[in-house]
Amino acid sequence: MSDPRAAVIVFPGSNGDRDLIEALGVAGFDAFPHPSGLPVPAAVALAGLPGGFSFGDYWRAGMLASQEPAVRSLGGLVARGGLVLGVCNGFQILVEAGLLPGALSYNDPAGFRHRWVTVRRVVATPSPWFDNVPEGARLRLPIAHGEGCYFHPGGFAAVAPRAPLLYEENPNGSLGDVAALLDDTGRILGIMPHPERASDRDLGSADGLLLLSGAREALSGIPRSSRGRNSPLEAARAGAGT
Amino acid sequence: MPVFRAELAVRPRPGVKDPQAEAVQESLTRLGHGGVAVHAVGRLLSMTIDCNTSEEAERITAALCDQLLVNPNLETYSVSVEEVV
Repeated sequence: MSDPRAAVIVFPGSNGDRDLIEALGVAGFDAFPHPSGLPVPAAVALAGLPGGFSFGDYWRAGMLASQEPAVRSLGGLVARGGLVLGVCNGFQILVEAGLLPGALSYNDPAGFRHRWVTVRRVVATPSPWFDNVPEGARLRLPIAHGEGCYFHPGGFAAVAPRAPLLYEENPNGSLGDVAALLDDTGRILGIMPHPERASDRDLGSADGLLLLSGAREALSGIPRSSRGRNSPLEAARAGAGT
Repeated sequence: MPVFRAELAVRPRPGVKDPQAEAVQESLTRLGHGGVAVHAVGRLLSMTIDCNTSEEAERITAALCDQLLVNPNLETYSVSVEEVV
């Protein structure tokens, strides 16, 4: 079976697209860059929205990018059984597009934060993104953002079932320590930390690959029961090397 | 067709955290302006609209806000419209 295709949408001002393509490749995807001005091709199984400063983040981060044809085609991709991942600026774009609820705004206290953080997996909507991340697991991932403070007018209770990852130490004032959010189907994931920048143990952590491998295995129809400890990713994570 | 100038001001909704305002406040206080209280930091959009009446210009501006320019979770807005002569 050929590797599932993954389109990484490149907006003017994206800067995490190559990292995301690289990490998706490591996880077993045939990943390629796709211009934001065109709808995502029908043959694609996954669309990734990378980090960066799309359209300069003018007016409101993600707002201008949310109107791009590639973003407007994501509902169709999900309806076909595809998956969507928005990282950092990509998360902001998904929220602005209305594909995820709430809003992301300026960090509180104000300022750009870039450092390693620990996030905790908690009970949430079932999602292929988290098939390889058991509840209670802690992931080490890097953040780099100025507008990652998640807000929902209904409070944390309104989004708790959709929040699979919480910060151990909240770096940005995010409501309820929310670090990531799923849509109702579990197929759309917005995440403020960068899983693609945690895909190599030699560079600090390979924990991000657990999310991408879950997506890869779900799209390839690999049953959950046959995954887990024996996978190279789990082995890498356990320190056995690859 | 008449032309109207619309000035749209978008600001954080009352009660929503405004870290930009806090940061600007800190700077102004450091400059010695102890009597100045910053209440909000927002954005201004100045535009002209070709339409028949000021009411229509206001309706168009409201549509722009609903569709794109204002995130109602976080923001509120006000608009002033006047005919360009």
